[in-house]
Amino acid sequence: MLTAENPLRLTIISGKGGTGKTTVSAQLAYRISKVRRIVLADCDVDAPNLHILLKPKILEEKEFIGMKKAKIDSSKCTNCGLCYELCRFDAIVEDSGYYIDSTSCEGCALCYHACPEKAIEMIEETRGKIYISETKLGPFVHAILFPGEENSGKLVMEVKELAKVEAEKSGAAAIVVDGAPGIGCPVIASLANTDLAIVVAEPTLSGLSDMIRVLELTEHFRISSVVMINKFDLNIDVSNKIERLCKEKGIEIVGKIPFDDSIPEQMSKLEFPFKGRAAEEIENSWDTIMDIAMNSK
Amino acid sequence: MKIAVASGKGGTGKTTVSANLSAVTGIKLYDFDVEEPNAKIFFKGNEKSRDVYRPVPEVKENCTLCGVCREVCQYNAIVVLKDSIMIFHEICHSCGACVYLCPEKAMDEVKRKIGEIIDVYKNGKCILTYGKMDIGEVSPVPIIKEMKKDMEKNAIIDCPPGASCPMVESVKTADFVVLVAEPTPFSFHDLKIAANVVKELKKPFGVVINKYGLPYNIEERCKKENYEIIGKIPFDRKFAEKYSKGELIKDKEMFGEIYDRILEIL
Repeated sequence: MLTAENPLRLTIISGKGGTGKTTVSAQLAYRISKVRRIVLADCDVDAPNLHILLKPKILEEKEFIGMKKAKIDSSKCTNCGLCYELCRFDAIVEDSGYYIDSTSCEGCALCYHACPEKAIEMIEETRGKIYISETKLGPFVHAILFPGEENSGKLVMEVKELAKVEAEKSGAAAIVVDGAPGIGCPVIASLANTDLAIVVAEPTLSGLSDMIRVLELTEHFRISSVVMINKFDLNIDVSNKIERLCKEKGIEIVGKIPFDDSIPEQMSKLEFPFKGRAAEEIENSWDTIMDIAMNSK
Repeated sequence: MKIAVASGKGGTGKTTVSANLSAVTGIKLYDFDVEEPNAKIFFKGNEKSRDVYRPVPEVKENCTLCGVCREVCQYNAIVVLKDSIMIFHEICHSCGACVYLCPEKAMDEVKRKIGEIIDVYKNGKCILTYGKMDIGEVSPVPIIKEMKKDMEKNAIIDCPPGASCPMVESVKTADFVVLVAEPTPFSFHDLKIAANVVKELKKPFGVVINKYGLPYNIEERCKKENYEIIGKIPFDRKFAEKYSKGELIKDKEMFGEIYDRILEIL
């Protein structure tokens, strides 16, 4: 059974962007919220979208302090160029003197330690914002990384930590996490401590290729996964391939969402919860998902 | 001239735009979305691959366990145990600080494979270069940097989604940025984030609207933000089906016009 002491942690990922992570996260969360308390978290901190749909009321705003970055004090700098030579991120720019290109600086502090004149400081700055909000479905933690910043993985970890706290406070039985695209640091951070990854795949050759890579990632980190095929009837051949492949890997297909013109329409108007064939299929997947998730817990 | 195709939100049609632009203009395509490379699906040919490495530290025998390396590592990749040092290569950023600052010179660097760069040839001509990051690696940036080293003068770049380091690294090298958006509130929201990055990098840019015809009025909103729309791809299930099979749209007029507009702006 789902209990508040030990909430079920579900993470929705996709590999490829735009396959329907946010649609599935929101509708699935809506379905669970009918019977249980839940907490939602948007871990796609580069390009967060869930808040647009959920129209949250922000209760609390926190600053995200990322990596410290280097800054050269030109009054102390003697232009010796050692920092320029040492920096592996091309973050030190020479232009009648030296200065830091903060979009390239990864905050390693080698220049800071090596500078013979102690002319380099490491500066802490706000690199994003985290919000704790209330929605009709339950508490919601979301964030935005300032454009061009690093460390989205670290921000994702903070969002998840806060979601856990909210779950404890509200006695939630499940935490639904909308993950990031790709297979790199923000995704790996979204997947940490997940009971079940729900991979939303679309039946295109690109979608298939990306699904294979993201399933290799979940396998690598030993995270149980299930697959939901979105717009499965767009290309039945590729859909069948996805099904065959999942069968070989022993991965359950928990839903086959039909191509439904009304979804982009409802999204354009921000009508949520979604209605129609696609929405129903997502909701119907919950029983299977819960069974599998409880077993892998 | 280098044209980068980016978007903020994933799945809005970056690959559709970049692959078709490349096919129509004959300019070589570079797929910098090394986490999930897809352009290869549209450009089949003979593949030639080379591995990409990055340097990671290794401790030598003369280590005195002084712990300086752990102190200077900003990524918490080094742990000092009672009788040895543990280094987590996955989270190491290869900055070289521990190696340079070790008072005993007790650190060496070894190569760690993080992915591949693949050239795709058709009729003897390299039509696509794409990168592929190994599963479990954290950052695509070193692979993108390696790909940037020997690019042709003219290039079309398929960028990674998002607006953080991988996207910035990809866009930096471009002379012009095409931002692909679809008429949904989500895509427009992410378009603004991406446009802010591009503005900060002082790159000229234009917007291509994919799935043009969906009810959300993105045109009006782009106008308000002063974004120039340089192309529109109509919402058509036919295009989605073509994409699903790995086929290009190959509309010379549609993509030729986008290219001409970019040349005009520059």
